[in-house]
Amino acid sequence: MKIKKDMILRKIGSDIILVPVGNAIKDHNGLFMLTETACFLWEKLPECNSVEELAQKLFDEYEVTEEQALADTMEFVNNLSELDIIDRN
Amino acid sequence: MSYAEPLMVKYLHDKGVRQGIPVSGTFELTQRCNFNCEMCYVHDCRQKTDPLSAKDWLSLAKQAKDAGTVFLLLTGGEPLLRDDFEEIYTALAKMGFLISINTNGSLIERYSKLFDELPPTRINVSLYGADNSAYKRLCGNEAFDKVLSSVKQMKLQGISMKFNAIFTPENISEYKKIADISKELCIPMMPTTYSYPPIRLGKGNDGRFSPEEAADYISLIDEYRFDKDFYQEKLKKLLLLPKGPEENTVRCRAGRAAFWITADGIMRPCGMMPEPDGRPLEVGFEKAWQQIKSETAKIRLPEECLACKYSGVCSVCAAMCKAETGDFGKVPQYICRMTKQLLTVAERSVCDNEN
Repeated sequence: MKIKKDMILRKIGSDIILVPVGNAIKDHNGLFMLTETACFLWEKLPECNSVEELAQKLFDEYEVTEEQALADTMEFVNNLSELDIIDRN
Repeated sequence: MSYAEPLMVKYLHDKGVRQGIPVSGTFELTQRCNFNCEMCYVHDCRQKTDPLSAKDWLSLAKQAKDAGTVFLLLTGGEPLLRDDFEEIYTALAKMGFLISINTNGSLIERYSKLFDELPPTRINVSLYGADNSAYKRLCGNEAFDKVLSSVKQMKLQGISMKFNAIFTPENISEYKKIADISKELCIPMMPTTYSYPPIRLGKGNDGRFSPEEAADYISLIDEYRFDKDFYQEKLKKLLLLPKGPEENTVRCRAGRAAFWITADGIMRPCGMMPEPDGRPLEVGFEKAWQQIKSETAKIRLPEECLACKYSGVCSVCAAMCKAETGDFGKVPQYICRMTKQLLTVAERSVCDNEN
C-alpha cells in the first residue's frame, strides 16, 4: 500500500499527529491525531501489500485477536482511503 | 465573517500549557518593511539588513521542532521582503510545521508559485484601507490594488486567508468598505481599534484612539459586520458580566505554550512584551524556552483586576499592562476605560433594540 499525500509524523508530548505538507495542506487544512496503534499501522503501511498483511503485523505486535486486528486495520485503511491519503492497491 | 480556531488547535495548545510544550511559535524574520505605518510596533526604517541569517532561523526551527513546536507564524516587519524568504520558507514547510504568514500583502505576487507548491496553512493579510489613497495616507504606499489582486489570486489557489484590520483615526472612515471586502471575498476579518503603545521602538502613543473611541468604533464595526441577532446575543452575553479569572498569573498561551523570537534573535513570551528575554542563539532553544517559561510563571497581573467586576469581559493581559504602564502589576487605565465604554455601548444597543 502507498501513502499518496505528503504527511509528516510528529510526536508532541504524548500525542502523535500527522502534519500535512505541500499540497496536502489544501486538501487537509488541519492535523490528524493518531492513537498508538494507528501510528504503528501508519509506520508499517508502506511495507505491506494488503490490509491482511498489515493486520497480521498488528496481531503480531499487540495483544488482540486476529478478528479484532483485521477489523481495526480495515477501519484505519478505509478512513485513510476515503480521505485520499493512501492508495490501498 | 469572523475567525474560529479549530478544536484540534485548541486541544494541542491546552496540552502545551499543561505540559510546558512550546506548541506554537512566531519567527519575526525582519524588522524591515516596505510600508511605513504610524501605529506599527516593530517596523524600524533605520535597519537595512537583518541580524539573523537563514541558517540561524533554520537552526532555531530545528530546535523548536524537537521541543514540540507545530504551529509557526512568520511575521515582521514584512517577512516577504527578505531576499532569502523562499529558502527559509521552503525548508520550514518541509520540516513539518503548520505555517501561517503575517504580511501586508504587497509582495505576495512574487511568491505565487512557491505558495502553490508549498501552501501555507493561512496567510493573514493586514488590510489598512479600501483604496490606494487610504494606503498612501496610512502606510505611505499606494499598494491597495496590488494587495487585493494578490489576495484574490491566493484564494483562487485554494489558500486559506484572513484579514487583520487595524483601525486608527487615519483609516476608520474605511471600516464599512473593509468589512464589505471581507464579506464579498468570504475571507474572515479580525478587526482591532486598540493599538499597543509602540514601546519597542521608544515611540509615544500619538495617533491612536482614545479608549472611549476605541470601544465606540469596535462596536460600530461589529454591529456592521455581524448579523443583527448574533450581534445582540453577543452583547447580552457581555452584559451578564461573566466570571473572570481567579488568579492574576498570565492566562494566555504566551510563555506557557507559545514563544516569539524577535528579528534580533531574542526569545520572548509574546511580541508585545519587552521582557523577559531568552537568548536561544547563545544558550540553545530549549534552555531559552525553560527560562521564558520560568520568568512568565513569575509575572503577576494587577490584584485590582482580579477584584474588578468587569474582569470577565475585560481583555487586559500582561503585555497590555507592561506596554501601557511599564509594569506587569499596574492597572492600565486605558483598558479600564475602554472596557467600561464597551459595556455602556452594549447596554445602549440592547436597550434600543428592545424598544
